[in-house]
Amino acid sequence: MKFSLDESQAQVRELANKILQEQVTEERLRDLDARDPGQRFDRDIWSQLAAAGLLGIAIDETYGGMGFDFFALSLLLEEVGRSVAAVPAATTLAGAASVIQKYGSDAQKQRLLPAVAVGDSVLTVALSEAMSSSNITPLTTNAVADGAGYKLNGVKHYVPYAEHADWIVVSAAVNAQENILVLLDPKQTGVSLTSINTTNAEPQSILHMQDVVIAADNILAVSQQAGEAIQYAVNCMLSAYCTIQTGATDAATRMTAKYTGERKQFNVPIASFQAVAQRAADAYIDVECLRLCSQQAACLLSESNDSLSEQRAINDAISIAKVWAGDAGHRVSYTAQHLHGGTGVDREYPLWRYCLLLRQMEFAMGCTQQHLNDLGDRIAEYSVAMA
Amino acid sequence: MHFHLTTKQRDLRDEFRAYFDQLMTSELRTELEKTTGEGGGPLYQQAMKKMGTDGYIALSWPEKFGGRGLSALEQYMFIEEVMRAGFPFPFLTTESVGPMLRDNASERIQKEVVPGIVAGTVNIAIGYSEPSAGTDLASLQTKAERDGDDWIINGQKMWTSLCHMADYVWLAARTDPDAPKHKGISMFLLPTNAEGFSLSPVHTLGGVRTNATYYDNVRVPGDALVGELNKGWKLITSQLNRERLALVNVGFFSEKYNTLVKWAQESQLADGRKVIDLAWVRTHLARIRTGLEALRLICYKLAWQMDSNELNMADASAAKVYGTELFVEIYRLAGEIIGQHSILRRDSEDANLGGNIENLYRTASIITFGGGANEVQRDIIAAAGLWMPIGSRMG
Repeated sequence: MKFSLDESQAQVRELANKILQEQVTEERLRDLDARDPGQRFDRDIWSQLAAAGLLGIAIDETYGGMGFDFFALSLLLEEVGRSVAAVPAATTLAGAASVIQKYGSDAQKQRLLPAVAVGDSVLTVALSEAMSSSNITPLTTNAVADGAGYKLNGVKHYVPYAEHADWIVVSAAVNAQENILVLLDPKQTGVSLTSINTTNAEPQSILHMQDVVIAADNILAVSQQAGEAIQYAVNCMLSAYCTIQTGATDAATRMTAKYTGERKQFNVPIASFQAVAQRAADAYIDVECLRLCSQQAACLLSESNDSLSEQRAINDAISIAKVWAGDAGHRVSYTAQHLHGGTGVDREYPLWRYCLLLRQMEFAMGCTQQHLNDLGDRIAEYSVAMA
Repeated sequence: MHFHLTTKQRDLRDEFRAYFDQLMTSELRTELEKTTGEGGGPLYQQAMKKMGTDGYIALSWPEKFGGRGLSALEQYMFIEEVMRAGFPFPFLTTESVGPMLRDNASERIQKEVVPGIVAGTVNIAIGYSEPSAGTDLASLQTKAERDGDDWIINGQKMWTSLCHMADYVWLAARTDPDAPKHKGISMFLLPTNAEGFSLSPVHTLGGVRTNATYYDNVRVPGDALVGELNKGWKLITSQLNRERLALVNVGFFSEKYNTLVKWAQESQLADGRKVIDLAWVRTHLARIRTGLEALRLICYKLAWQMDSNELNMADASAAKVYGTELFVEIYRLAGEIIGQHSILRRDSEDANLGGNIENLYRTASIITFGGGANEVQRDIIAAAGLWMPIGSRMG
């Protein structure tokens, strides 16, 4: 057990914090707010993160990265949440790049990852389907063998940054038992994107696929390995969302503490009222619970997941963290808004963006109840014992 | 950042677990159930002595005092295993009062009393609260006055738990009535066989007996004063973080969670399904497991912080609030899973697992205000964790 960062991790965090706190200014965010929702992508910040080496943080040195692990990437993601930066860090880095690095061929990695590290390429993942209770089981996207490759048909929902992506990692069902994970070029024949307008204005799309040809060199994983790869991609995305939520809840809580310490009513700071302080303290506790569970999930994801018990430990830690992300996100958001009074909803004050992000993360890839249900099923199967 | 126990820590946990496996005989378990889990029976006393002989009582103490010098994290693991086993280990004596006596008491007490704590033969009750001094403990009125070299003690204490089995009371008394309230308190070790000392039982909802204790011109020698005169408040608060951590140790429910899951997996409903087949039972168990995981990590982090001198007072208070409120909530969820059996007392026919949950419900009603009321803990979090200006009450 060790709850501190080592020196290089602390440097990563400091660097990410410095860039995002200094550069993601209120002015810049307002400029983004004024854009069409589909265009709410801060490419300048993305380039600055690339220039600092942070986009390649978890990419192997062979492919132009810094060669750190997934946990180091999570340090960047927490800062993204803390600053509400409008960048595709979760989907490009935690989702797509991680799964390509772990399951892709050398040729695929060489083709895709160096461009990510330098900020030239945005990637995304299309794992979610409408009316589905599972992230890992594609039901409405099907793949049929087609020569050495496949033909894809179906629809994926809530695909983040799809209109900005050069490649989309897509899961599909080959038959009732078998899935595949492939790379899809959004510009290729048979693909169309419908932009959707989400609660925090993150660019997202519905991905329609009609007889989309997937060449052999765009297959990431098949048969049993595809199941593992899809699970891994889902876990990486969920971990990223939990970590972003950690940064955002922490920022919202501290903003609230500062505001209530300055806002005077009845001639005293409202923070001196116990009813106010107690609610802020509950937010502090929620953030701490979420932080620890998220850090644990990211740490486990950085380690080996070869054995069944290791794989289970990761899945369980992910579910637990996402339950916290949903609950803490919901409670902290409403506490922060409530204690700010009208100021909290005024767009002149920065809190509102945090609240929208917290809501978006709460529901991304399964809400609290869905993950409780998944964890409950696993408890029925293998107890998830307290060691 | 690392979330696994080291090999050394795992070995230590295995050692503790094996030790308590053999210590907790079925006879001892039966006796403990009859004494509402608070100990005090002959087999309990015997087990404490055995732990003393085997060197398992003062593990966190330096070796020269009969301990093993365990780190805070290792000591936390020890308490976790004690609690998993269900043994009512007197950790306030060994972890809080004991070290204060060891480091601050007179030579006489260090010779007469401290070795007995390590040997498991001395029991000490804590005399802090009074009828009018609870959350505002520093307003306590029990007084100690000089009479030659001796001290004469007068007053009343409340909730002096385990005192009916104790050899001593660790007593906070006012020694300077004119000083500001935190600066006029001193600590004493008072033998329960002293003339003028008496007690009357207080029976609680949980079935646990506690006591009101009375001090009518109790005379103790000058060297019964522990630490410096009028510096008692500092002593009392010096161990609070450790106490808070011990109060919410996740070991208290870890094994019970495992048992509950097993019960739900194996128990058949009248219609042929298993209890675990019910969707709401699964999500209830998932809620419990999710809550326990956060508590586990909070506790380990706190223990780790103690070892690396990075302890933030807000985090100790956060652990106390979160842990106690989690326990209250999960006892309810666990009770719902077991159903109406959860209102059967342990000694009832057909009680089974329900009896344990029933007992937990009744004994848990004290944890949110005991060990520092949660409202005060939240104030500490707001002040020390979020730097919010606090209300005038704290001044």
